[in-house]
Amino acid sequence: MHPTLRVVAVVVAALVYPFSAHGQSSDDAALDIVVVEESAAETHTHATTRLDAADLDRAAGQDLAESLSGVAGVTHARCGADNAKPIIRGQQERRLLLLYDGVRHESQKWGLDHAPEVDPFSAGAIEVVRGAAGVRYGPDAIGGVVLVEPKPMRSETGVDGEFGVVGVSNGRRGVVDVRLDGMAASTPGLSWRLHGNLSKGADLQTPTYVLGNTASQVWNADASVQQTFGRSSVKASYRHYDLSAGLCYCASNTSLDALRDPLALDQPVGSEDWVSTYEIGSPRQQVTHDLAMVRGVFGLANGAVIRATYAFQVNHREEFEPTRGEVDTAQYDFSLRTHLVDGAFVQQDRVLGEQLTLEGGFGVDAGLQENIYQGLPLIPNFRSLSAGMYAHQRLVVEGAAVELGGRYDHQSRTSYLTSTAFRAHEARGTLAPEDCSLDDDVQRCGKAYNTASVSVGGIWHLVPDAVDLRLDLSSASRFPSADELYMNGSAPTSPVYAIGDPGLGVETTWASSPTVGAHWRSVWVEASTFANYTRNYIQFAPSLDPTGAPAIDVTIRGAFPRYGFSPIDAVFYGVDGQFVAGEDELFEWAVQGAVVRAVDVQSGQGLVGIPPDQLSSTVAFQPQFRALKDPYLTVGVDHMAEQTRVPDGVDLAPPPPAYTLVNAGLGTRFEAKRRTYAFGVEVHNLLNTRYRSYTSLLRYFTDEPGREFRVRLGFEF
Amino acid sequence: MKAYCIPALLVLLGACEATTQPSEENEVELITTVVLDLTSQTTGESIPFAWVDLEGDGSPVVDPVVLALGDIYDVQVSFLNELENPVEDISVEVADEAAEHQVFFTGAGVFGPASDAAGALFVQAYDDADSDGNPLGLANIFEATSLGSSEFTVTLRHLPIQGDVAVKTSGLAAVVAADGFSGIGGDTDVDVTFPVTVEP
Repeated sequence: MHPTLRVVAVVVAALVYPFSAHGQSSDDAALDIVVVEESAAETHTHATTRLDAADLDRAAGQDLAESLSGVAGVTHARCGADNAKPIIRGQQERRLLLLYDGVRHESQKWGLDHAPEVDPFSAGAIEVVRGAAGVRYGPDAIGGVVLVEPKPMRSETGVDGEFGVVGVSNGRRGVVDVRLDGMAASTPGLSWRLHGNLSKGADLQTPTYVLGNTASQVWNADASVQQTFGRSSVKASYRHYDLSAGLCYCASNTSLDALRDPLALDQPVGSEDWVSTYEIGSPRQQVTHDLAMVRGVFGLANGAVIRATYAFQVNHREEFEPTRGEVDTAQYDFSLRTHLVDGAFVQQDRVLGEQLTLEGGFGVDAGLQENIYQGLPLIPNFRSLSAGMYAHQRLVVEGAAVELGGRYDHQSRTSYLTSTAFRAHEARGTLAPEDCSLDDDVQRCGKAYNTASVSVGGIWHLVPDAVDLRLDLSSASRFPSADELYMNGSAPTSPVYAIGDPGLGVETTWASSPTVGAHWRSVWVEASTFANYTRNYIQFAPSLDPTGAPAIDVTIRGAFPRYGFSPIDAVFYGVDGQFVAGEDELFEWAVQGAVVRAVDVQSGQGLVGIPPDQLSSTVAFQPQFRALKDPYLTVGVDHMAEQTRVPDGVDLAPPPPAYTLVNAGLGTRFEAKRRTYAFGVEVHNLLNTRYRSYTSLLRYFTDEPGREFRVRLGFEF
Repeated sequence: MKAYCIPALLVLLGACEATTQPSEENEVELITTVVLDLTSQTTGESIPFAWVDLEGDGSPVVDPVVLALGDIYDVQVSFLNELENPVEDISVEVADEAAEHQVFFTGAGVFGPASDAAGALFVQAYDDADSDGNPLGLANIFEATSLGSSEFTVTLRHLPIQGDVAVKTSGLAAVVAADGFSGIGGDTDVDVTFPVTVEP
């Protein structure tokens, strides 16, 4: 087993395409003839990495984005404890799609400090699709897709479960996780699950000072029941996520001068007095996410499958600033309620000839979303309706497969602006009275978007069981989000005045990504390149006044540079991949790296916020002991270069220098009294190196957290 | 849009009205207005000078401050939310939490604890203090010392306690004079600039 990942680059002799508009989800236990052994990773025309249970075990105690960061081409932006956001091939979360059990995770994902509200402990596996995948997964899948799959439900009678504890040195965090699965003998076919966890941590520590007010607490609970009837099943599940987290005192509203002040850059003001406690002060976030869903999977007699899902989710985000007096409500309060329905038809495989099979399906989906915002001027309320339909066919011949897909999406959205917000836009020329209709002191501003996506892809097994090529040519689109259209205000963590552009259109990417995988004895290598052209790439950048000088907005909190959302044509290209020698042998060596370039086509300048070049290397020692299962000892280095392709004056502060971290880990599983125990210690930043990460919001204010030991112990029963 | 609010959906949505009727009803302590009330110790005459931005549209209405050379003024600073009815006086809360707030006067036109500008037109001195004896800055003394025109900036810094540690300490104004606001903790709640003219 690879020390950090199990990346699939093997050739699957029988190409079975588990087509689903919303990913392959675990509710297919009833359909295990189709999917039990193979993940989408093995048949995908995209570069895809699958994190299995062992990988996720080693990541235990980290949040979702940190857990994904071992994947080539994936990095994360941290804003505090339990508050990191994934980045895939240089695309931030608003250009990524996260599916939890096949359901689009709908949240305020545009915010720099709004981490995805997903419990990594609830995942049985996580699949990361790199590159545009709009046809399969729907809008927003421009940079990639993260598929979080719950563990499969029980398929036979009995009870099993897991108990795990994790202790994390940095922040003195403790985590307890419990899962129970069962199927009673009296009700065969009816399986159930109860799962929950609690994680509580104190303020994090950099090598030289405490990060004041980064304590956090997360708890999760989920429950599922599933009834199977032969090849059909019905599943109902509910999950709740609850986060309370402080936002570092250092990331308070500040000025550009302060951000660029070398003294403040060295160490945040007041940090010498910060001590690590479990107390969460202000500013802080209180976030809950609830998801309830029902899914039916109906296996028809001819082998076709119909899948239908209804999901309702509520994302409630409250952000509290330091206030005066008796104020106890949030200064930023977002409620996002989303109803989603989708229906998919997966046709039976049609054998067209010897070694020639046609697979595929089609589907429709629709959503209704409402956003209610209260607080300091920022974003409007809105209600949107969306609908999409797609179809997909895949022709499988011996040693190769080609696929073709198409998708059409519509979204209509009405935003409701207060007259104050409308006037703020009007004064800056971004809205005119004819853009909206005034009704009872509320401005209703309607927008409708349509977009079509196509994809063509193929897998060619050049040398059976040794070399395969994948090629994907896809388009993907994203509708502008509420903040890009109507934002009006100053976020507490960035000293700029942000103003939306209601005239923005759909952002569309055309992407090509060839991937080559080769496997020879215990050596395998996978390299994936990509080149994407994005029309109307919505960039957040300084606005210019009519004379061409940087625009300044005078507010009562000071004069801020005005940043706007402007459409540009952008090209992203790069390469990511990995090399492993001695996989699962006594000594294993793994190298992975990623390079991303992003350029504004017109100006030729680099874009802001693109991860710098990254290279990591890990050596694992994996001896065989009689009593121990899969013991390992790993030492690795992770190097992040300096981002040197940022144009002057656009970013708020210069990019931090390159850094190299040393990581290590050891662990094993063992059987005792018919139970399987797992034990491990992972060390991040062993040498306690001071560094700042270019993609992290924290880098404007402080160093990243220092050395961290994560000790985990778990058993299955 | 009301069409969406059909009864069956209403149960599920529960929020039709809330969506279509945006409000800012959460208490957000918006500050729209800064008023400097100058009372001449010579004439006893009181004149308010205001910095007002009701719309948040980036074009505030600012009264230029006019001082008479040699005159000494008692200056009361107030922070208002004029979008509320009746108008909310945030300076009451600032005074209540004096140990977590301080007003600073900086810029080319002013010489004082937080500004060592050469060529300043007037001298500012604090005329109040919190319970620890540190200046608050809602009450001040201005003395017009030189003829000319310039400008000065009024900054309200919120300095809430971090854990058990007070962020407001003595000598903050001197740090601001030396290093600017990046040298002290807390958040800027108000940062507005007034033109100032000292007349003969």
